[in-house]
Amino acid sequence: MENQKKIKIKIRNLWKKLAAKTVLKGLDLDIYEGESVVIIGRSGEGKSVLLKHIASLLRPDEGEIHIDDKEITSLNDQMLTEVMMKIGMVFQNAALFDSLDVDNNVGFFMYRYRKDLTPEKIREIVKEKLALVELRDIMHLKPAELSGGMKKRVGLARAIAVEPQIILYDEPTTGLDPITADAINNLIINAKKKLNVTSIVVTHDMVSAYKIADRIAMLYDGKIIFSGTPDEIKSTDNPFVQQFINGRAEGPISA
Amino acid sequence: MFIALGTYVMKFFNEIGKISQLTRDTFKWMFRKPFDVKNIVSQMVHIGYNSIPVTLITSLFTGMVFALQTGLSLEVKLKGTSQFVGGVLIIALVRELGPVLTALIIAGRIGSSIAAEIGTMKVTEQIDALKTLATNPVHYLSVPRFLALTFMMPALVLMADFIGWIGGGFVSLAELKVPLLTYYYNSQSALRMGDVFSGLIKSSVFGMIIAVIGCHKGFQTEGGAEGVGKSTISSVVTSSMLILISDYFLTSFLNFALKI
Repeated sequence: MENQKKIKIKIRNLWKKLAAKTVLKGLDLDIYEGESVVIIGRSGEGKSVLLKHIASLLRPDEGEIHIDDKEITSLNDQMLTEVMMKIGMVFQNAALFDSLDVDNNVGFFMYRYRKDLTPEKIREIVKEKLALVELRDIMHLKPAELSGGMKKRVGLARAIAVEPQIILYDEPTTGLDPITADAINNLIINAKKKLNVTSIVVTHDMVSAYKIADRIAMLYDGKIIFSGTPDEIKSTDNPFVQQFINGRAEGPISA
Repeated sequence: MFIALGTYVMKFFNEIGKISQLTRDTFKWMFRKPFDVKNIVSQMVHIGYNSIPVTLITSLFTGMVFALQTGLSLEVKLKGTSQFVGGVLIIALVRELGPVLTALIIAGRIGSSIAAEIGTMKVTEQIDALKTLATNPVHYLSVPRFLALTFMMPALVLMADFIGWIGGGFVSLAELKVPLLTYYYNSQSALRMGDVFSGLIKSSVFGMIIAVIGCHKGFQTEGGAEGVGKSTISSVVTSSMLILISDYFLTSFLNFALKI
């Protein structure tokens, strides 16, 4: 079935060295339009680095990334802006702008670039986006006044406010209590349904991975070593994958 | 040892390269839309208006102690010469003390806060978040700070010069028994327009240095709270050094250019 779908993001032979460590070693990955892919892997394995390559925040040492059949790693800044408009990113610690209130955070892009919209109209859209992440009456608060879960929601609202086709989530449930984490999982599923976006989620939270994913890909030693549906990943006999998803210190991956 | 020296030299030139690039990018983005007037004004208030008290206190006491020291020394050398203290003081203030002391104070107060703020934004991924919202960090962060410092520094220095001169006048009256009118006329006859221009141009350049170094150190921050601390210190040290070093060359160039 997947073969009939359009490939949204195509990554080929991606290499990246950061400081003294080679993090990505010839990584290949295809992501289809409208699907939710969860990338799992150990901390420091390069999951976030991969995500930042897709968001064009980092440039690879070697390799290609195609988004909608357009190669993005060689684009100049101006052409890149166009591509980045298709992508919304939710950061690990939300990365809200401290100096701005929630209204200006979520509406950042619109207030800055959409001069065709009146401030009142933008406020309305911001309210709408906040309602999508189940928040209200917090427009005037500063990020410092929000709880961790609220920050993540505002971060998500800010990402969807640019009406992206692709949303990247960097460890969306890390550091949240299980109930809040599940609420965030539901929001991610909702965002996919309501906005019809392609989602890529990086996490090491398996509960979250099983719940969100159409497909789970495991990153190990700079490459994707397994990719399949949640059921496939549970039943695989790949010892690396089994060790990770069952959370054992013993196995082929040294602890 | 040669390798260590080589690495150090490489690092130094790498740093210079990055600073030049940031300066160039700042000028490039300065003329691009959208012009963030709100942001520029709020930076001007933060940088200029809020720095007025500390700047004025510094220059007031500098002017006072300068008048006291100069006046007493003049008097010791030759009785009655302390009446010339106004002229000496105003030249020193307008040409050197005003711009340099204000710049050093602002480097400590504003340069550090720019480096800390941008550094924190860097380590908490807010800079990355800006990029994903199609906003160039230089455009959004450097340009308003650069403009605010470039224009607010001369304004602060003018106030500093004036207050320092007033302080000197009262000390001359109280300690040296120089009448205020004598002080005034003596100052007026010593001061030329070129001195004022030279001082103001220098202040503007110092403002640019503080902005560029603060932003540069902020953008280069790595490694959490410790990194932010390091960037903050290094921004103050680097900009203070650059202010003092460039002061000599700027002065010598302006003396030539303005024929003073």
